[in-house]
Amino acid sequence: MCGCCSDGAAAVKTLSRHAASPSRTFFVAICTLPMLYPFLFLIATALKPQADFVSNPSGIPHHLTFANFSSAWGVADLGSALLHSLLAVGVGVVLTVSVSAAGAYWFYLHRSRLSTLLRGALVATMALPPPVFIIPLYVLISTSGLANNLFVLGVVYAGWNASFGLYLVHTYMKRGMPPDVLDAAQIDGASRPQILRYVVLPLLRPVLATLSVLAFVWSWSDLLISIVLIQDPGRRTLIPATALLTTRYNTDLPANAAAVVIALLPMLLVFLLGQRHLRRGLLAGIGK
Amino acid sequence: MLIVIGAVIVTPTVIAIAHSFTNWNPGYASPYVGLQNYTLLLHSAQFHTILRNEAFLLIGVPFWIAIPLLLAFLLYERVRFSGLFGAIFFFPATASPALMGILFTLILGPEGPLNSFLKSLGWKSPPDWLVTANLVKPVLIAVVAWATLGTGIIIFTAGLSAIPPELFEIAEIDGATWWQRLRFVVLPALHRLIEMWTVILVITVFVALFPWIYTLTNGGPGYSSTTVDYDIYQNALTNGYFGLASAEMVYMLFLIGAVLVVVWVLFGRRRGGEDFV
Repeated sequence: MCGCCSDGAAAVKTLSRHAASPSRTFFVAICTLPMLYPFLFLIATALKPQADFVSNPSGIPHHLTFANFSSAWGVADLGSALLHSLLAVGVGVVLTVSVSAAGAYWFYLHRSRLSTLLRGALVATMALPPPVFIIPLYVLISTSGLANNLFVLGVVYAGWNASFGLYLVHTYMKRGMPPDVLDAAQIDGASRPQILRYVVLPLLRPVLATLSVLAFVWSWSDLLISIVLIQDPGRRTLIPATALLTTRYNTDLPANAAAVVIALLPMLLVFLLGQRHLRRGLLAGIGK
Repeated sequence: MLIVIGAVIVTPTVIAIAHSFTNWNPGYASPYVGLQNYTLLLHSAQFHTILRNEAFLLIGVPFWIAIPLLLAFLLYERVRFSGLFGAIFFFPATASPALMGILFTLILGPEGPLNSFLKSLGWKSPPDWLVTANLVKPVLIAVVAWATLGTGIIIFTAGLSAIPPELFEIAEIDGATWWQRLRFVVLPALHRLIEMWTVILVITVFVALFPWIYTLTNGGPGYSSTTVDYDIYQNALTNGYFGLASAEMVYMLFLIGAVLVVVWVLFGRRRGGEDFV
């Protein structure tokens, strides 16, 4: 079992009062089949030659081929789409983290009734999801000549995620960073930038890691914002490129499956490396 | 902070609300039309269908709560590899809904694995799940159940681990069955968490189904699976009715508010000040 799953296992080990029950374990294992099967099917389909798929659509492949990957890669230009996604999501994550950290730090230092109100208002924008702001944002962006710009897409991702980021980082600061620590550093003669660099940022590292993982997963998954703001086929990001491939070339299902596998791999990687952060961020989001 | 959120979220929202009273034509004059967009929607058969779709999809909420709750409680006691199982349940919830939608078009397709399985069981001509008007919404409910399961399990598992283990021990000593422990220990303890999860799910039904609808059904057949968020996209970007889409967005916000009030009343007395939304 991978290291990233150990916290759940440890919790159960200390809490369960009886030895593990094989029958119950078996039952849960059966329950995971509907979760696993679609992915196994996806991989099998992606590796299947077209002819094999026609005669045997849902079974195990008789021959393995990587032709579907190269055809999906070529037809939908997934290589460029991958780079576009990395650029937009990269800008989005860096901006989300820096804006949230700076904002949270400012609100941490400046406490007044007005700043609390302002912070509340910023956090409340979490309640405005993309379907609310995407259409007017599209009008604003396209009338100011910023359409089809991956950097702008990244900024939009940051604006979308920063309200949650502010909430997450600020809550973490209030709980895990007593003002005495900053005062002590100040007495020791540290300047404001030094305090930020050597005291605040190291303390915030875990929460900033959590925020990065969440911002990556959310932005990488996005279809709506990207498909609206980037309509130039030469600048598409990965998820819209994959979605449009599957609606246009509906007949070549193995190639569609291959495209999904390609778009999914970065998410799987981040999931395996950052699962703990995903859980933590999720639970922070519901106020646990 | 202020500038980014202000520019990306607040300004557009305000602009949209203002333009919902106009015949919005980006780049050209947008004449003021009063409540015309709103009354047009109220009298549109298509919009009525969409509202009925949303109401139908809300039927899924109890299932989307009960399934992860039962599984979280199962995983909580006497299961080996629960961390691994938890990860298997969780991954689909973190994967891009658009990609999962494409994956399910393959699985639910006429020649897909689901239908070949049903045929092998002896069902001669199983339906084409995504293009049959009265099946498409139940199928969506099932797919969303699959997609939200992992998140629900994470949330409820965290809730369960916050319950003092002695409560379960006492219940067991008193001879409480698994079902009774669920009913009388778990449900009361997780009341607030279940309420929060309900709120998240309600919001999901109204604003987060776009990638699923886009990849699975395109809102069809007809309008039988069109949701509000998908229709806003269609009205603005396919049909160019920006004013109408804005009015629809305002209706959507009110609808979410109304349903959340119902949730709040259903869950009874007020607790704590820590609200999610």
